[in-house]
Amino acid sequence: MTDPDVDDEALSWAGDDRLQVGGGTAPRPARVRVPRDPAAPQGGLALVLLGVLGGIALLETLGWIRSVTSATMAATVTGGTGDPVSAAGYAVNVIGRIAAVAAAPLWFVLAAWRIRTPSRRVAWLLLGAVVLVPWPALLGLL
Amino acid sequence: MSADPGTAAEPRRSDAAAEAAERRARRRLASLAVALAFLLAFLWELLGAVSNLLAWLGFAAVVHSSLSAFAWVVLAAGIAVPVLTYGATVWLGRRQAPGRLALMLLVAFCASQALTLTVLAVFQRGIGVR
Repeated sequence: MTDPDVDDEALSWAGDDRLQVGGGTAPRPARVRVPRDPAAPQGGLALVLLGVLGGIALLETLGWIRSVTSATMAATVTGGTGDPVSAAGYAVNVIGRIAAVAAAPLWFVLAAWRIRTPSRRVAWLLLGAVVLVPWPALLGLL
Repeated sequence: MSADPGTAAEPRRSDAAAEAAERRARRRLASLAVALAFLLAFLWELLGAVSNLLAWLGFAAVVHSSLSAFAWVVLAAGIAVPVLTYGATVWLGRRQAPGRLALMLLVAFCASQALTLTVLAVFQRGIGVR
């Protein structure tokens, strides 16, 4: 993590500045004041946005629970003949369904907690909200 | 006769540089191990998508037909989802610490599973199952 261009990453993380000085052995450089991101939402607005996107993530989680428990989706996971290979395949498929349900809350928590730049945080939260729309449940309703 | 402070400091500096290089190498190795561990999970997903395509091709051959453009697009999307998700995440996390890379890959795997189920739902809808 001593690369000089680490700030060019698509994601910047809380605590990155600690990692850039070789684990504390090198003298810490003077902290340069970074100019405020003009695209960053202001405090109150940022909080409201975070709340709205958190609500969307919660709704999407409920949608995914409905999706994976729907009859048509549940029918695609079968225990097979009961031999070890079928049982392993069944277990992996169930893990996949659990992962799909966990996707929206995990995305929200990771982006809200670890992305430092406010505009990037909102952008990643929006991307998550768009990507993780529970289409299986919505298609069942349409 | 006093020792030159510059020459005394030289070995200490090279020791620190060697230590830093070793730490970087260890981190890189740990990141590689994390990426490879998650690769297995994504490969399983890819295997599912490829076997799905092969099964439908076989089914189409049995009934002396061929897959429609819609089926090709959806089944190919099922193959593309794990490949693109894994590739993009490893590229984005290439300079992150191993723990952070693991977190990113975990979220990417979950998102990939959700997208795979979306593709499956669209396919079911297209063939009239739902």
